[in-house]
Amino acid sequence: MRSWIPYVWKEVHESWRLALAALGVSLGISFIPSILSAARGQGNWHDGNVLGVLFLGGPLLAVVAGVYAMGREQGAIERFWRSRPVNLNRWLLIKYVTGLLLVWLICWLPLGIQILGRALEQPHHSMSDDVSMALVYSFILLLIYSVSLVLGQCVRGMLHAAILAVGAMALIFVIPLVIAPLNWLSVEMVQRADRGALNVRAHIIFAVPMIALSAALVGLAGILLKRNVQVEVGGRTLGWSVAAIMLVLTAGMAFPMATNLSVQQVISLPMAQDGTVHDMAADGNDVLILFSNGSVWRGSKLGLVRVRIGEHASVVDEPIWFADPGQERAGYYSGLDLAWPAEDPSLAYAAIRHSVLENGALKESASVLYTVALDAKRANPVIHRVELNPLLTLQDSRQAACLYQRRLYISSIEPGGIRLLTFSLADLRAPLLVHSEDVTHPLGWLHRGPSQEYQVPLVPMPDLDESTRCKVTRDLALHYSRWVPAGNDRILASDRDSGRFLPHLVLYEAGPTRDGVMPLRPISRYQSVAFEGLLGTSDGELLYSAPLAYRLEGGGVTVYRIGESKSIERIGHYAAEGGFNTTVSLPGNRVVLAGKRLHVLDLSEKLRQ
Amino acid sequence: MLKTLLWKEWHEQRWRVALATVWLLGMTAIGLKTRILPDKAVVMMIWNPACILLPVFLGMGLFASERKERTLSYLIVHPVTRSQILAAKVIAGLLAYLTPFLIGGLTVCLTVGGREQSAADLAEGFAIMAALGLVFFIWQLFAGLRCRREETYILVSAVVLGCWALHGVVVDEWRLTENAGFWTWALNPFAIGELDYAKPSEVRTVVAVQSLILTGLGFGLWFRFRRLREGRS
Repeated sequence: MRSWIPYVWKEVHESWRLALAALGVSLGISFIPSILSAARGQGNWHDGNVLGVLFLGGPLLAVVAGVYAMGREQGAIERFWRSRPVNLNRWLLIKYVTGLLLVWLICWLPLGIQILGRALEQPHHSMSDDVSMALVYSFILLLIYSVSLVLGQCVRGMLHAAILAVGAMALIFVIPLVIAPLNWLSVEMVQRADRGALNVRAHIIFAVPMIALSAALVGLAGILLKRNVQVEVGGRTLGWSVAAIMLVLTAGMAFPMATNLSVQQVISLPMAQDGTVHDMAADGNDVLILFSNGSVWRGSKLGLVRVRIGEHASVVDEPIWFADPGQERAGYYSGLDLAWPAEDPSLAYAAIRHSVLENGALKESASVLYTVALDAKRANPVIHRVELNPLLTLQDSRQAACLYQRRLYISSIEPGGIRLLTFSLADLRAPLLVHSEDVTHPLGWLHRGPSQEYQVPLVPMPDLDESTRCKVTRDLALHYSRWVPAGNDRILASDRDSGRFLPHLVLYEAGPTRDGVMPLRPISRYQSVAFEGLLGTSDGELLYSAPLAYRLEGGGVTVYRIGESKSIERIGHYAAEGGFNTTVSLPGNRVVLAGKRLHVLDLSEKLRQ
Repeated sequence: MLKTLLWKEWHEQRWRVALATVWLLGMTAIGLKTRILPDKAVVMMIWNPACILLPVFLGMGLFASERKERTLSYLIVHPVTRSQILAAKVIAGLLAYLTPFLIGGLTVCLTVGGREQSAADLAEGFAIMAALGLVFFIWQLFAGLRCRREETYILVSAVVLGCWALHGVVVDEWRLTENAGFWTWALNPFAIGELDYAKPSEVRTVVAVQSLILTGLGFGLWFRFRRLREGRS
């Protein structure tokens, strides 16, 4: 057969059922939920999770299509074809291209439909990042498909070939993440594409090795086909091999980032099992904790408890309940922030929110600043309260508090920026509003300015020195900034634009403040182990207590040493229970992590090592 | 005779049991030893996929492998009733499926019970996951009884899983539990994994509905196996 057409006809004829089935499944999973939602008047029909389906289903489809392309010819059919005047190169190439087009078509068609739908209904909505992600991912699928094709050719039995192909797929995803020099070929590139961090050159640099590897694999498949090389892999051998590979890979990536920090104390708190710690403040070895006694949605009460943390044992004082919905089930309290004045440790300031529900939906909410006396014997521990809502525009915005020299600052996100309330603490027991100001610049937001220079806008308090302004800014912008002052004129930040599953840590050197904006210059960067990000959240809170920095992640905390030198060194990890909400540091390189209980870590030994 | 049949099945299935046990224990041990995540998250991350994958892996060795090797016809001509053959296969399959969960669950409870979660909480979680897998195991065995190849069995098992996943989406999207009653969700094996102990009536409904379904599947399996025709070599 000298013409290409019979080969194409045969392949299309044999593949269209698979293509239709895969397309149906892909379109169905992508769009049926959104179509149903649209039919109920909620959202648009094209808002389906197309990329999610592509990321999960694409590799599986590539494996199936690759193995099916060659695997289906095994046995008597192959002997039949070999007795015909068939050009093996054409046969193989047509098979390869048809299968690849099938995979790419099924991956791209739902995205194309979504783009079309959005273009018709939301012309201003850009999907360039989605297209960029899908483009990068297509080349990973190309490699998976090529490997599967080779395995489908050389392993006798489609099932065995498919199992091996799944193992190979796992290797394609895992190896570039585990081996640092291959990171640029990893699936993290998709995340970078999502951040818009890839230009045309980066796409090409990523695509070229994938295409080259795939071409080499097709060549290998051709050689194996011509020489009729097929290996028999027994079910048992196959099973044990795959299990061994999985165990070795898992161990290889898990042990380098394993928990290696031991806990000094675990302290139970006087709260119910589903209670929540909202915030903590420390004064020496004493820690004050703002917590709710149960799930906030069940109308739990808010309390404060002081814990005196000793070297080996700790004392938990009686809790002080200051906001209690009682039997009321139509509302609940949640803690926002806590401030504990060093001048009078028998007082605390707590910003809280009271939300009122109606038919299970939020009706209204009010933020209140409480002054609480930490004396358990008082019948009513609340000695002063300030309703914050009349001072704010938005009812449901989040507030942060910061204490500095007889001043209590409250920041709140408003439609046009941030409202900064300043309370005088001339009388510590009755904070008095002395100033209210709208800050139009994005307070505490670390970003690149017009000149592409990193910068962070500071609080408008020019009378403070820069390091104090920086600290106050961080406290007031805590809930939407991911940076922390790290010693003199330095800032440690999570670089969200790094496109990593877990963002890089970047150490910046701060320059002199100009017009309320602190310019920053990156001086050091720490690349996280790629798999850390797969197992935790990437937007964890940062804490610095010289010379250690702590980053809270989904399941635990990772500790870094940042000394006077520029280097950032990972020294350990600790995970327990359901992860931690907040953390404070104590003297002597100790840190308290608050989850369902308090976990006290002593890092002195680690630092001595 | 049942004892002999059980011995035969065990002889054929034991490598799968050993493999499943080593894999499950190995992965769990790595996760719990390294403590990258809290214990609960580690167990969920490994055991949830296991209770979906192991029923397929162990189920395909019962009928599909035997039909592929063309040995079922030899088994049928032996002086044993079909009920005995079916009973031996189902019992061996259930034991093979439950053994890795039992060994793994006991080991985890004894080694890390009380570290972050009590042994009782861990055991409860394992029991729920094992039960979920067990129901899928029976569904897949019923649907894939006539498969002549392991590949087909895997495909049929995937279809079973897909159908129940789709059922879950439909129930959720159309709010059938509110419109038609909780039983519409209780039919779904995935309901076992989402039991809410704060609502005892819902737990009772799920247990009752799933028990009825399992009984029905048992009869269906027996009926289908009696009518199974196997070509003799």
